[in-house]
Amino acid sequence: MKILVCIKQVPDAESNPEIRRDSLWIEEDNIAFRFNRYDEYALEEALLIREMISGTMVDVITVGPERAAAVLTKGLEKGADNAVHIKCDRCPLTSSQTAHLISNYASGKNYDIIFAGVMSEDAMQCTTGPMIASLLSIPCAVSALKTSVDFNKKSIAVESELEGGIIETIELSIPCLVTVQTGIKQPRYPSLSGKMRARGIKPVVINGDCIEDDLTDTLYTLNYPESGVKGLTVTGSAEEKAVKLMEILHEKGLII
Amino acid sequence: MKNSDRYKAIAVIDTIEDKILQQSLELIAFTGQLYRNEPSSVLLLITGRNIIEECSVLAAEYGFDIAAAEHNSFYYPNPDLLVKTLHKLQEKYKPEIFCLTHTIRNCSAAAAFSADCGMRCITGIESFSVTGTGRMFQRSIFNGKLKEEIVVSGQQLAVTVNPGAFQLRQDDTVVEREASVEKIEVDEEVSGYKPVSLSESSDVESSLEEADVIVAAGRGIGKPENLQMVRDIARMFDNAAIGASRPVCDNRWLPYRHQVGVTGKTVSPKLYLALGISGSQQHIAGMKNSQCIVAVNVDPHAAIFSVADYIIVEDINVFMPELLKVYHKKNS
Repeated sequence: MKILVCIKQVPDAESNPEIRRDSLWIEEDNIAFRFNRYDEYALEEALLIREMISGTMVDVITVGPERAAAVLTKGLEKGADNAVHIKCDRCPLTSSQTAHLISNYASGKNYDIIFAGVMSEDAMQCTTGPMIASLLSIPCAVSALKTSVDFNKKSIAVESELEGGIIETIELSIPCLVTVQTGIKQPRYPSLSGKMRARGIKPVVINGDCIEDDLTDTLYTLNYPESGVKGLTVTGSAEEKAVKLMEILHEKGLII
Repeated sequence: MKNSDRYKAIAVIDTIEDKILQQSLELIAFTGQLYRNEPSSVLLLITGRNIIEECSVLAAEYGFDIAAAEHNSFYYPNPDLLVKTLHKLQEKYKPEIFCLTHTIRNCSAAAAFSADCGMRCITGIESFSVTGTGRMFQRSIFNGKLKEEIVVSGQQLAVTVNPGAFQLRQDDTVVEREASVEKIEVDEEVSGYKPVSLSESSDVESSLEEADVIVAAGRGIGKPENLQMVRDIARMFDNAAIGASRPVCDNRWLPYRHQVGVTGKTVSPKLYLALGISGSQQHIAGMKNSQCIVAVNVDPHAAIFSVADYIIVEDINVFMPELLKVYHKKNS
């Protein structure tokens, strides 16, 4: 089997991003970047399938500037066989642009399954995966917690999470695309041998800067949320805050 | 019947097992605000196996025209077939905007449909305003720490709207208008997408909905051992339950039945005490209607503070022992 896993480098959610002067993206200087968490689960799913079906090959692909190569290295260290870097300095890209770049690459390469995280932690759109599937005209299931491949039937059963914790089982014919939710199987850490092996693999680099500008007919700006804080800030030392909170809860009759 | 320009918006009302999901009726409020006092410019699409009757009831109640798409494969949510149905409506009406509620299935359908048509797709809309150049849609990114503002004019759009962002009000109903119900024929071509079964996750049973007080733990608790303090705090209250953010459940520190949020439980207790929860949009959507929200987090920019009634900036692993100490001092 041939599997492609779409991975993204995202700014750490714990960092407090400052908006860049053009209001299109953030200042990157003091921001840590890392592997999108959902994509780690997507890669894990692919690596587990490779362990079960011999002869399976797992490729990782990312779209982004130079710095995004770090997630490809991490992907290779975890066990991916090959890496593809579609280099594109423009930030941010719309999910439609990313989907076009990845589907252009994947088209005609006979991938049986394409995995992606259910969303990226920064843009939170849940759209890139289904768009890739649509552009390649292959079926797509989203928010998978578990997959099982039936190699002879050329199909994959996907246990997929709906809102409210309901689980739906969907059968997809191969080739297909599956987006993965965090959950059941904890992503592995790179092994020492994985790290050694990764050093010998150079990602294939493709120029992605040729992609059409999607935002020309649209005005796009980043902003800080209105200081939506309507609540009362409780101040003082930790002990004083605890005392004050207890008084508040008492006054409101929430605690005896 | 002249079809072009007839409907400016098509809103997809969600069903599951032929039942209309009440939350998705919020799209009536959303499209109502987009096209003020023009119920005739909005068409509701309702899918199911056998839903004509439900459609007639809804049309009479709200005064919106309805397109009913009946098919066996619509008994469960079916984004694949929904996309095909949207194409039919696109051919027929070419509306300005296709609106869906922001669920994971609908995001998939909106994304696939917009990619097919080369349409712009915006998911997770929280609000919009009208500017000189067009409509400006707002959505959160970076876990609520920043906001995207997207002004669109002229192009066709497919959007998903956050649950709870637009509340259905009394005056959205009872529109004095004779509304029609039209049947949309859908034929399922051979498809690689087959819904097989639907089951409640094995551990969704929990007392979260009945609790007066929810003490909820987030990633900020650091390690599972610290859950003991969370439990001790819950014991300070009558009828309290333990809630959790998704990462806490993903880390197996607590079972998924404790998860509050879009993919877990939606709750509205008298008191929601959020301990070390940063407040992802997913989580906030599941608890923001609580009567009183107290949030404790070491990060003064944590998104959870935007919905909190009482804000405490403190490391919870410092704060929790202090709170327990104060409580025990008072009650000894």
